[in-house]
Formats: sequence, structure tokens, C-alpha cells
Amino acid sequence: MVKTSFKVFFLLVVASLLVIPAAAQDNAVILRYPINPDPEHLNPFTSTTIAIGTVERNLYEGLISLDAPSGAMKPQLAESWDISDDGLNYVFHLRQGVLFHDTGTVEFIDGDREFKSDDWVCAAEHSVTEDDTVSAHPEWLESVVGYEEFKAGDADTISGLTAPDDYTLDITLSEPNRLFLITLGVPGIPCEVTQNIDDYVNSPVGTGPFQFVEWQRDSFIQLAANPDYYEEGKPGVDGIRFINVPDDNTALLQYREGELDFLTGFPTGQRGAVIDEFSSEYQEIPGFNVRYFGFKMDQGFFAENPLVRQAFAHAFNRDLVWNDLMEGARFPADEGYMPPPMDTDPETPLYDYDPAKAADLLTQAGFPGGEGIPEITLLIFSSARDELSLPVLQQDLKDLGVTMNIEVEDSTTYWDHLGEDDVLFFLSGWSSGLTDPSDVLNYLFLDGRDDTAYDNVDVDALLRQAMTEFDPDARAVIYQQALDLIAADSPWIVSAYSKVGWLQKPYIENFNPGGGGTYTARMADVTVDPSMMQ
Amino acid sequence: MSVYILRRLLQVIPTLLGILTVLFILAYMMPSDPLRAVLGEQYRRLPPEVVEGIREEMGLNKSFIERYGDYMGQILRGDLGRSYILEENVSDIIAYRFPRTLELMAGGLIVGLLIGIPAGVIAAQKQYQWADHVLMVISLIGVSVPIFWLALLAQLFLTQSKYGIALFPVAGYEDGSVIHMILPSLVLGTNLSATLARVTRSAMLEVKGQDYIVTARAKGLAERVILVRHQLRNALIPIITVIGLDIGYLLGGSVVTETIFNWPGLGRAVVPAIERRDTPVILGILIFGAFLFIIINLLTDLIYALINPLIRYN
Repeated sequence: MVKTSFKVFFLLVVASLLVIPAAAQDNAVILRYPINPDPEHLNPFTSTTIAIGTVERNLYEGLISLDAPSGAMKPQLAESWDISDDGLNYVFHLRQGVLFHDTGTVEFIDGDREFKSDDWVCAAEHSVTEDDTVSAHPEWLESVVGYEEFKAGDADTISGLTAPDDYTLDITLSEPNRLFLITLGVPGIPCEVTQNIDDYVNSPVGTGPFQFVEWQRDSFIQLAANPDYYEEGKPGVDGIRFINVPDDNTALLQYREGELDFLTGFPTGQRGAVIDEFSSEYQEIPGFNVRYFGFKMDQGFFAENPLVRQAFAHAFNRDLVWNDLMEGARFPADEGYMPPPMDTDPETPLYDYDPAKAADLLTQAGFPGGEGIPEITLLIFSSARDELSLPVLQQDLKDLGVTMNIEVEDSTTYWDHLGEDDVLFFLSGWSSGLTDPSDVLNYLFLDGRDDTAYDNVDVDALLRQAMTEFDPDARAVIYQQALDLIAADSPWIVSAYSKVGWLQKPYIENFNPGGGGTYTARMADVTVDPSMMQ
Repeated sequence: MSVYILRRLLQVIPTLLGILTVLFILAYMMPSDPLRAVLGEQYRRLPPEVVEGIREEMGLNKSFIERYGDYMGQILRGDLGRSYILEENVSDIIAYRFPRTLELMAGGLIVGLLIGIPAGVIAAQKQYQWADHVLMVISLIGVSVPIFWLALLAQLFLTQSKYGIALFPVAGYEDGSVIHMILPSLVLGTNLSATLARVTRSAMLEVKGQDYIVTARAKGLAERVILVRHQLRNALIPIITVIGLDIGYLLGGSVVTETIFNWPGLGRAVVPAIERRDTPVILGILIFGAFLFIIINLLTDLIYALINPLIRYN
């Protein structure tokens, strides 16, 4: 009896070993891409996280797209567009014959359902609502004429948005906005789905190069190539499986054993070893994230002592942290406040590592040898991957005669605590999704919006001026003036700029992300070289 | 017996209400603004009046008493609420993930039983001999080793051809795939098997010298029959108790195991929910876990009566 049971168990194990993974069935080429966390949902109107964006950018399309590496605008659902000379009127000519995904999950899409201008208007109107939990993207259309009235419920339509025919959209802005096209994220979704979006957040329908197949929560999301995709020869693979891998160590082991085609995160402390092991598969580009130690600028010790802020900035040995201790995980911030790919002028005045100058500045500030400076506390969040920058900063400040304590909080508590008066010094960072400097400067330095509460009316005026300046060269000059003023005020110790680094298997081709992160790569372009596959 | 079961089931209601109240107070006292976690980066981008509007929509501007009343009313209607973040009902979250956690717990339990009980029996039979010493040292290590470390070692040596032999997939879940289940089950069941081995050994030794064992042997029964029918059966009560208690441990241990092995169970839902202050999910899953634990304890008590005819619940 026991022997029989054992045989049955053994046969079961052997049978299960022979189960062929879905990814390899029928010789289909399915990319296996790690993702963490599992996307919260796939509702394009309320999506705010990278995990959601990673999947959604393959399912949904807007009128135009941004090329990830260059930031250049490219036609997508709109084949072309005309902009009036005064910058107020946009006419989009839509691509004809674009079909929505026929995934079998939406009963009213049976066969060919074409994307038309009314679908886009429907989605646009859905995104403008009084109910802020329905749409998290007011920036998409806020500069369109009639936006406020429609949002307040005083109008049935957005007066500045019309669809003269099935393949034309006419949009009028209330004032020129050079970021209008870049931030116009309204997706092409069937109006029937938009009106019942809650029923379709887990079975999405769009026009993108891939269509939804299956979602096993906390496990994987499977997409298949859209057979009706309008771009010839795209996508270059049969599907993508976004595999949710919450642990970087596990992801590395999976990549090594060929269970993943990409590795986008490195286990802490193993970065150097991993890059050594997979040197021919490692890729790297500069990123759009900046890490900094912020000073509270509206009250407290640092607000009253600008020379102390500058002294701290000169005292911090970024090179030691990021090049040596952190094995090149980021670029030491030796250029300025903006990540290098976005910097309009890399010659910004800097706070390079100079302990002697730092000591001089402290003396000038009336604190020779750090005497008289109270013990300071740096607030950080527990998941920060900047661990090794902290003891270095602590030691650098100690060398100046300053005692720094470190207070660690979980990230949610930390973000809430930042606004309190007792927090005078903290670790923070900012990731931009665009190559445009406004995506950093407007959110951090305009009207005191950063947690430093830094507010300089001259900087505000320059940043506003830049928003209406359409000439890129003139705009670069304005931004440089603003950055010079900010650097002189030194509200931050800039620590590092991000690197977007990843591993990809040798048979993967045309995977080209931008500085925003690996998730920005257009997966429709990715191809596989079969000769390199084992 | 049925009166006893009914009484125990009725006791579940005030127990759960008490647990729910304590959990609600703890969740309410968690530091930080849940909206900050819910909105993420958007919290910094949205104007303050919009953030306040969302707070009102979600009822987060209400007092503790109002929120407690609302939540209790909701629970009494059988509604566990909706996740702040996942755009899913909590009951759906549990319904999807619990069967997967149950699979893992069952796998861990099977491993624990298959290894722990035979090891304990052998150790008792070979008391003070080398087999006993070896098994007890191994079980001591098994009890002491942390799950995450064991999981990493198992992954390194059993999934990586570079360091060992690639017998199993590194991680992941596939419907109906036994191969994906083996390694996490082994890891999850190791502590249980070690505990069971030690408990089984001591329970077996306790009954070994009892009169009924001597009598059985005097009657000329085969040693195997004495071992299984008389010795092991009488030693089962403490073993069942440990199993009952350790199922709760398996539920807790599955959080780590699920994370390392990409297993889409309850643990994988509750950890991010805590990080992001998704109170309905935290409360829903914890209260479900508490309910499960109470039911398992009840079943354990009932199994005592099945094993030992002297135990009656009247």
C-alpha cells in the first residue's frame, strides 16, 4: 500500500516536471519581464504608479507618444496634427482603420470595432470630473477651453473639444501651453468601456500593440500580440508575460536560470558581482531621478543659516559613496540640481567635495569647528537604498564638528512626517517622467511645493516664464537663470543622479528605455534573435 | 456533541467582534495619513483642495466613532469593504488568494507530517542510539533556522545549476503545477517537521512503558502493530495539538515563503496593504485569519474525541 502511494506520488512529480511552461508553447516567443509590485489595477484614468504604467503602455495608446530615449513626439492614434500660429488651436487627424482589441472579455466588441474620434472625446470627458477618485489626471486637459465649466457640472460638453468627423479632433486651449501635447495622456478606449470602466479595470481593452490575455494577481499578467495592430511588423514578439517578482534576489536567480529575459533591479550589495557575472548582458543609461538631502527653508536652524547649508554641501563626499561603496549604483551629483540628461547647462555652479572650504564656510557663519551648531537629525525612510550615503555624511559632518543623528521611519509615516515643524533635514528624491526640466523644477521649486518649502519669487517668475516660452534656446537660458538662483540658495545637498541599469538576455534586441526607467521601453519594438536562443 | 459544536460556534461571534475592535483601533492608530499612501506620488502633485475632496469621498475625514460604526455596520451586512488601492472588493481579494495560501499550507503540512512523525517515531524507537542523536540534532537545527534563510539556501542549491542542481523552478505559481509547489512546501514544512519530530519522540517515549503496551507485547502482537495501533495512536493527542497550533504558524510563515517564491497568497496581499495603509484589506485579511484559527482550534478539539474515545464533549 505504502509502496503504491509512493509510486503514484513519484509519477505525479515526474509528470509535473514534464509540464511545458505556457511561455514556451507552440514555439511562441513570449518575453518574460519582471515587475514589482503587482499593478494595483489597469484603469488608465486612475493610474499613478510605475507598475501600472509598465503594463498599460502596451495596451493603451494616446494621440501621440513620446519616444523614450529621445523624448521626441511621435504619431500614434493621431497620424498628424496642426497647431495654429497663436498656439491655441490643435487639429488632430486620426489614423483610420485602428481596431480595438477583440479579447473576448467585452461582450459588445465582437469582430471589428474601430477607434473613432467619439471614443476619444468620451474618454477625455471621463477624465474631467468632479469626482477626483474617478480620474487622477487633471493635467491632461486642464488648459482646454471649457474645462472648468465641464468639471463643475455647469456644461454638458467641454466647449473647447469637438469631433467634426470620425477622424478629426479639434481642441482649443484657453492659453498657450507648450506642454499640452506632452501631457495629453487621454487613451483610446471604446466609449462603452469608458462608461463602465469599473467593470473593465482587470480586463482592459485598448488599441495598443499587445492585448490582454490573463491576469493572475500577484503572479503574472499575460499579454498577446495584437493581430490587428496598424504598424506593420509590430510587435516583434508574440506576447509578454509580466512576472511579479517581489524579491530582487529571487529575480536574479530566475534570470540566471532563464526564467526571466530581463533583470531590472539588483539585490542590495550584489550589484558589482552581478554586473561582473553578466558583463555582456548589462546595459546602462543615465536616469531622470535625483536624490538629495533637503533642508527645511521656511523655519528653523537651516533656514537662518545659508552658509551652513553650503558648508554641508561641500562636506559631503558623494564620490566615495556612489562610485566606491555603492559600486556605481548611481552617478555622484557633481553637476547640479538637474539629472544630467535634463540639464540645460551642465556648468551650473557646484558644491564639489571640499572639506577645507566647508570648514571655512562654517567659520564665516559664526560656527568655527562646528561650535554652536545644535545636534541635527536627518529623517529618512526605511526602504531608502541610500544606506551607505548616511554613515558617510555622518562622518563628513563629524569631521566638521557637527553631530548628526539619523531617524528612520517607514515610508508612509516618513512622507507624512516631512511636513511637520520638527523635521529640518531629510533624505528625499524626485523622479521625472519627462525630459522637460519643468517636470522637476515646477514640482520642487515653484511656489514652495517641495518639502523643503523653498520659495523664491524670482525663481517662481522665471519658471512661469519658461512655461510660455516656445523657443528651446531661450527657454534653456531662463531655466539656467532659475537654476543659478536655486544653487545660490542651496536648499539641498544634491547626492546622486540615477542610472537606469538592467540585464537582458543576449537574444533580446531593440529594447531601448529612456531615463525615466526600463519600463519606458517600447516593447512593441523588441525583437528576438532566434539564432542566439538555446 | 452537536450542542458543544453549536456553543463553540456561537462563541466565535463575540471573539471575532473583540478581535475586530482591537484590530480597528490598531489600524486607526497607525501613524501617517492613509491618503498619502493611497495617492503615492500623486499626493505631492495634486492641489490640497483636491486631496481633501478625495479624503471626504473615502470617509477618512470622519471621527473614530463614526468610522468604527460604519465599519461594524458594513461587517454585519457581510461586506468586508473595498480596497483603497486595488480597485477590488476585499472579499474578492481573499477569495482569490486564500485557496493559494491553503495549497501552500497543505503542502507544508504534508511535508511536516511525512518527515516529522516518522523521524520522531524512529528517534523514540532508537532512544539514545546514534539515529536518535542525529535526528534530534537535525530537528534542533530545523526548529531554529529562519524560513527566509532556508528558502534562499533551497533556491541556491536546488534551482541553480551554477551552485547545485536545477531540480525545481526558482519561483512562481502555475495553476495545477505540482513542480512549482514542492520547494516552497519543503521550506514551509521544515520547521513544522522538526517540531513534530521532537514532540512525536517525547510522546512516543511517554507511552512506551505503559501497561497496555506491555500487555500488547505479552499477547504476542507484532511490533509494527504495537507501534502503530497502540503506541502511536495513544501518542497522537499532543501531536494533534501541535499540528493545530502550527497551522497558525504555517499561515504566518507563508507570508515570507510567498514573497520569496512569488506565490500569490494572502501574505502577498497583506504586507503591501500594511505598507500602504490599505485598512480595509488589512482588517479583512486579519479577521479572516483569526476566524480560520478559531475554526482550526475547534476542529482540533473535535479530532481529540475521534482519536480518544474517553474524550466526550457533553
